Amino acid sequence: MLGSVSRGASRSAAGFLSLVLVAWASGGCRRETPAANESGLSAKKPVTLILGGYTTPREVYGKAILPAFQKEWQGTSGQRVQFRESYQGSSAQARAIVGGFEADVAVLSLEGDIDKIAQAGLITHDWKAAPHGGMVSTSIVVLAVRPGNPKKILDWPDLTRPGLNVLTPDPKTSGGAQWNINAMYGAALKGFAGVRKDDRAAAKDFLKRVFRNVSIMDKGARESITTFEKGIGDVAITYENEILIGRQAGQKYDYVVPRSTILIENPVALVDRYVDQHGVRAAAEAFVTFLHGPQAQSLYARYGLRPVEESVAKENASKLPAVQDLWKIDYLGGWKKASQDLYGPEGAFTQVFSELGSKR
Amino acid sequence: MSIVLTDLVKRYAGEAVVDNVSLEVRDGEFFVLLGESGSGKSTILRMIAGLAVPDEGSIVLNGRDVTRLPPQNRNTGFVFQNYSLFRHMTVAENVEFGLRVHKVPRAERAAKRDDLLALVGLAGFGRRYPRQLSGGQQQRVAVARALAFSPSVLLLDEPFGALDVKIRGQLRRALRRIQKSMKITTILVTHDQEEAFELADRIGVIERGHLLEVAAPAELYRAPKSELVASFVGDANLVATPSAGGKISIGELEIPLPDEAGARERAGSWAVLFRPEDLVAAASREALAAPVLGEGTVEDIREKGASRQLLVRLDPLTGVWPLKREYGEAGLALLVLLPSEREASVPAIGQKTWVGARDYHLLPRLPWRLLLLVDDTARSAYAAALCEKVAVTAGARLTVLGGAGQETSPPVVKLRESLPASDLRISLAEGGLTQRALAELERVGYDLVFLPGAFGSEQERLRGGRKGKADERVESGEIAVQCPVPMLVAQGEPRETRRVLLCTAAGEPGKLDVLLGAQLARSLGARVTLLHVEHADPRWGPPPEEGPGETTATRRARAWIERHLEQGLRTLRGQGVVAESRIRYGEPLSEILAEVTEGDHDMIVVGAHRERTYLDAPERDLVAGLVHRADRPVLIVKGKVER
Amino acid sequence: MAETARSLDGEVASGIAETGAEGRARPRPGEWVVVGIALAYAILLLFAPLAALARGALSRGVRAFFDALSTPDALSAIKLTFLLALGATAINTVFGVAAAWLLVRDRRFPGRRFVNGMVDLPFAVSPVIAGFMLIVLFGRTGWLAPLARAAGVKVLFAFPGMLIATTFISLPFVIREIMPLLGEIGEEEENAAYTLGAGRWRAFWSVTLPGIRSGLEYGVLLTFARAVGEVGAVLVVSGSIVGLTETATLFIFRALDERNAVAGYAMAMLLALSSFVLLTAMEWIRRRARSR
Repeated sequence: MLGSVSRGASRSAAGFLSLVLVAWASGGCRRETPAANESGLSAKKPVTLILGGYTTPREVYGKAILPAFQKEWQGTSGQRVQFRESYQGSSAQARAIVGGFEADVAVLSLEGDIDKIAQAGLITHDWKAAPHGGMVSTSIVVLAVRPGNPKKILDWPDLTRPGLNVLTPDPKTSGGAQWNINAMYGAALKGFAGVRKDDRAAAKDFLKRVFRNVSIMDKGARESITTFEKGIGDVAITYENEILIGRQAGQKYDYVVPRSTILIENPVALVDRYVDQHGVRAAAEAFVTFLHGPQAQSLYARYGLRPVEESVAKENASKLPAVQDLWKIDYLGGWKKASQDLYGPEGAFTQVFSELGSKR
Repeated sequence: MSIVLTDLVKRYAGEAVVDNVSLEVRDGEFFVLLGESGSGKSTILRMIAGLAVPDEGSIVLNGRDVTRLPPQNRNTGFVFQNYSLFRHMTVAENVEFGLRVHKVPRAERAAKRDDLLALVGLAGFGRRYPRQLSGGQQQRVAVARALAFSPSVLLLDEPFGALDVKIRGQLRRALRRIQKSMKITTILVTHDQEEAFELADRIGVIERGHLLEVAAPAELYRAPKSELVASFVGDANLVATPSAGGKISIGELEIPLPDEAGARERAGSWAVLFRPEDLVAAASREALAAPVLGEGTVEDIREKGASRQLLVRLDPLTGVWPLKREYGEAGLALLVLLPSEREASVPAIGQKTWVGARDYHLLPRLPWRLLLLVDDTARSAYAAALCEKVAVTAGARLTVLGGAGQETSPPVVKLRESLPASDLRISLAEGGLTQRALAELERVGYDLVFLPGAFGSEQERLRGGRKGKADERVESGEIAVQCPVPMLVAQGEPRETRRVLLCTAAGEPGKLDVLLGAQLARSLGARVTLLHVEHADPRWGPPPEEGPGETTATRRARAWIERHLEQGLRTLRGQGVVAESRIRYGEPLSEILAEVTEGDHDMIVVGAHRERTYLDAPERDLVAGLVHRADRPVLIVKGKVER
Repeated sequence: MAETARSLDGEVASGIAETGAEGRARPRPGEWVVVGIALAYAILLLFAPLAALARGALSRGVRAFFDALSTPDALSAIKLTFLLALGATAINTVFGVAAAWLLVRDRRFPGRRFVNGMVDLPFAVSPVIAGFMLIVLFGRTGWLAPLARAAGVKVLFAFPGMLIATTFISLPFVIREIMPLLGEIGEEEENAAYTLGAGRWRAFWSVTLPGIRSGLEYGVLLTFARAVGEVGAVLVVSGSIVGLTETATLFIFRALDERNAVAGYAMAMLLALSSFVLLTAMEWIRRRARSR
């Protein structure tokens, strides 16, 4: 039994201890040093660049491009550059960066995700003014199928076949998922999905019939294809380069290029706020430039991406299948309009999702 | 003075567990606090040690006010009931603990420890762990530990409670020895009287948070100052009888009342204490060689090893009754000690024997506390008349609450005349009579409340006209709901109370009805009819009397009722009341009312043992129905009847 | 007589098992079925997955197993997991004991019931939600963000945030282990110490602590084990920055994404083994406490 005196003391002890905890947490055990010497290239001190990327290109950056840049930068500036990489679904990554993840360079799947970061005031330069409109790589939306294509999936309309198990990621977190849906929708409007041309309602209905066959929506494109690899699903809608990388890693699947599909263009942008905070502008800018250069572009090609740099593109054109009707996001009116039409509050996909959701 | 406690109060959940306790313990004294479980004695001890904080009052140790000091700074040694040895330390480490805390150097510590272990008879046990020791050994360690750093005061909280009798005795003697040799002021708390008597220089008797009396053991035993202490300590035969002519007579024994209390020559305010060894039993009157109390039958023989006690049921003596009322018995039961030499003449059970008294002790009794509510109604006057009779006969203390205008009313005037001022308190004020009454009931523990029977307050109010008038009226219905003590509701034509109808149901609550009814009847000088109503549908008539038609169930039920009534009658007669019994069959309310009329009863006694009594619902509740329809005063018995 | 004995025997046999010589009951057919079900359950849910893990981890040989775990990323992940677990355990031990003490001994402080209920919050709340709570608090527009910025500390996507998250999800163990022990031991020994002149710290150290030691050890181990296995909260709060804020569990996720099966399995095996070691330690402590 504590007397009132000792009870009071024990309470103040507890209070004191909690204050200590708060102070300690605030004091922290890791302090980030403020912006270092920004002006010159300190030849001796290594610099760290933080990369926030989407799921698919982790191999091409991790294994090829980053080492290549490190060598190049060491050569030109004598400075060692260290990379910190994080890979998540494109939209999830964009939100993390907006939420405080201090990436110096954002390597994302969707132009809209970069815009999100710009809108938050973290990107202050006109990133679209960079070469190739800010894009560093392209790919196309294709359909991955089991070896030999046993279900005989040949084009978009086949996805609506009853009983088929279709895999595609979740558009809320994954950029690839949005590319997939845009491709389907556009193809439908263009009349390549077995529904009436230019009929929005019909296109929406097409989406619905496809998504009725979708059982799992993973967080990112990479997760989606690895799920497919585990034996789940009959067909996975995915990036072409995702499939090629998988094959490089020893996976066995075939893929079908639909007659009409969208050109996936992946942007890269420097995040001004964090770059300046970390004092790494020089290295960061050099990196972004590097990505547009021929060396990086060849590396992209090696990992199954379709390069944007013309000369490299021409070189590698024969390696990848041609598309009968290849179109860009402009067909859907650009990203803003497309996002609104499909993922906005009254968007076609939003409606499809809620209609299907009520039935699940 | 080593220890001075002044007006200590400790409350738990609103209840006072320690209620204004003041006491002083001298240097080197062995003081024992004696009380039952829950009496607050342990709490007092813990407050002295600093393990509990008093809500009011102060504690002074050796001239230092320690009331707000934590236990560490009080320099008191404490021995706990469950030893509370540090189970992860050896015996040696336990004993040394206090010394280590006080930073005594190792060599000195070791020497002290060895001394103490030797003192308590545990030399060489240093390496053992508490769990390897017996209870008695553990307690010795606890004592050694408490004494190690030479405290100024030693406190022990029922230290031997968990031990065998033999060990207890050994440890007691050891403790006494140690205490005497170290001359350390000691307070020991216990419920064991034998222990208290053996160890104490002085004993403080605690009951329900109140310190009843402090005295040396012999004095406490032979001359307690109150009946509570008398019956607490040792076997007691307590007898009450009205006094007359300045003395008390029991059988042939005449006890003069002390002079100083000459003014308090009121009936019933004294009790006589006979300890078993004060009484003698013999086969014949002549062989007694002591004033004769009376003749009786041996009911039981109690072996006490060293001696023998007889329980003798005396034939009833007029005007004498035992203080401790036994239900179901008439006549005094006396415990008589038979000294061992009288081997040859031990009477057998059932034998008749004579009892005489060689010694006695006179005790003042706690008077009954009565509350009377007066207003200007006729019923209130009736209540006052009844109350006056009871108060005078029983020597009670009376509090009167009333409206301002009552000062000159006849009832109040009469009361002033009949009762001595020391026993009468009159509080008259404007308005809110009912509220004041309820507050008063909550504040003080009354034994009986006298009310006028007034219900249907709305109508009264209207009839009374001005609101002010009604405020001065007693709202009996409201009071009845919350009243925790028995109530006498006066109504009907004022009449002399000659016959009382005591309604009883078989079972424990019924006993209370009988006991209180008996007391009241005796005070009023009335006869009692003990009535039991057996539920039966009147359409079918009373169940068949004994005979072939009776089932086992009804036979058993009847036997039970008859036994209950028999016991009730014996109790009544034992209290000096003339009584008879009746059984009626039918619907309780109508049967009771019928009996009232048939038997011409002047008062009804009935029990209402639920927590709240709603007198405003006559259709649903038996008691309410009685009150509304009986047109006679009703004594509603509820709560625990202590006296 | 014999008849009665026989019928009694029959009753006994049908109701209770016969006792063998040592006094242990010999199981009957019905009990074998139950044992069988329990075994199957254990095998299916516990041993089979562990065996599969081991097979995957050693599929390319023991050498590959060790190589996979010695890459800088793997080592950094192991180190990070270890540091987080250690930090969370240390914090939760110190504050857990203090909180348990307060909750058990001081029965009347304001908000006691509330605090007591809150202790179990980490059990009730999904760890992912814990992570999101931290983002709300410390994100760029978070309520406590200015505080962190003023102190110059990066909370989210860095060690401090992960430490807070890990501490939160492993919070209740120490407290819940100690509280009943404190209650059982009771205050009287401590009171005895007070009367002997010991201050409250001294009494706690010399008297209470030895009494709760086994519970404390157990609670510490549980906390550590839980912290090591955490995924949800650190996933949300860390940003999964490879080599910086990637714990062992996140490493496994990434390994699977990168189709590096051996690395994933190897790390999983490592975690499983460490759990096994911890469990054994816990069992040993329990045995020791019981024999006391």
